[in-house]
Amino acid sequence: MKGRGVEEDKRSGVPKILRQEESTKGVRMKKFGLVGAFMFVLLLAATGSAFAQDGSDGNARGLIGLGAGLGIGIAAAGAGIGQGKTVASAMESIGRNPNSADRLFQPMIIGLALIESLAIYALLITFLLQGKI
Amino acid sequence: MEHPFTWVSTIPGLNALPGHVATSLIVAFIIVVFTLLARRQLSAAADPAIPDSSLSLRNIAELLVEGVSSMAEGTIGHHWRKYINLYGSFFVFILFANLIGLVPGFAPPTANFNVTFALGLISFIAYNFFAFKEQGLAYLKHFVGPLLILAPLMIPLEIISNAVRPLSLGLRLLGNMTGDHLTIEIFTSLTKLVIPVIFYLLGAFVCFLQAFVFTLLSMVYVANVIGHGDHH
Repeated sequence: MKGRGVEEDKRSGVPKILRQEESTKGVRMKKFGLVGAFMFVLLLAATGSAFAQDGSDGNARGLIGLGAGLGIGIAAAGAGIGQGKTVASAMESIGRNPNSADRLFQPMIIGLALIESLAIYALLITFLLQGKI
Repeated sequence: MEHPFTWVSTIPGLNALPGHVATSLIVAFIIVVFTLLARRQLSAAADPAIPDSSLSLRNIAELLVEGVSSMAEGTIGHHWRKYINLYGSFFVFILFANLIGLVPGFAPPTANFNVTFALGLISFIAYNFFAFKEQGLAYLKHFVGPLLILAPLMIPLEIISNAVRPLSLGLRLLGNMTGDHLTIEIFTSLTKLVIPVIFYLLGAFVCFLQAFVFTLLSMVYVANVIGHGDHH
């Protein structure tokens, strides 16, 4: 807490040692995730080359299906994060100054629509891929 | 995927046309009838400045006109009356075309790339036309950017970003309407009764929002290029 002599991070008041611990844990989790994803892709490629003659058609269709699913999933995650930040800052502004709600509404809607349109482009590609399975 | 059943296929003259063309014609007919009825109610009203006390076609029409006019005034500024015809038409047409997709047995015409891309293309041609009308050939100076040295970099960038606009407007509307229609279809076939109501509500909200966003973005594009048009 405050009076313990531990240096406080200016931004959030959380003691600095705690933030450092969390950040190394975050970096470690991210590296693990990256290595895991890389190994998964290698595994996919290995199965693809092993069954080159027999199940190549099935493998291609499986990969197309995987691409379709993952594509829209990642796009939705990105759009969710972007829109979350937009609405969060709008909410904060309204909370700080309730009269600004009317002026904020239109720009926020434009921002949300533009961010969402990126996810919509990915959705269209998913539709195209899903028709090809 | 082919739409299972549409009322359009039962009308003898219209089922020779492609689905989205026939439904667009129905939407246009509905808009004209709605407007004529609202206008008749307005002329028959005792005092045109006082709204009706209950829901009526005249009230809905006034709501639409006021909504689009305030949007235009906020975005374009002084000369919004010159552009309100086109953008009001966009808003009303897209709104009705989206909403007719919620009625069982109709496919929204805006779920077809031809219709949405045509709307996007009209918006693009419109804002370029207005830009040339307001500024003449000085409009081309926009593409050069702030500094003359950056011109080789800025010109392709500006041209690409301008050319993408009709495509993005069309794709945004198309994706939203197709995705929404598909969601409602799938959920109605999965859980027949109460749950699809939630998706109908979401669909109605998305219809309004997409009409609003299309019109707002078109007005913003026009407002950007005629910005030097009003001299204070």
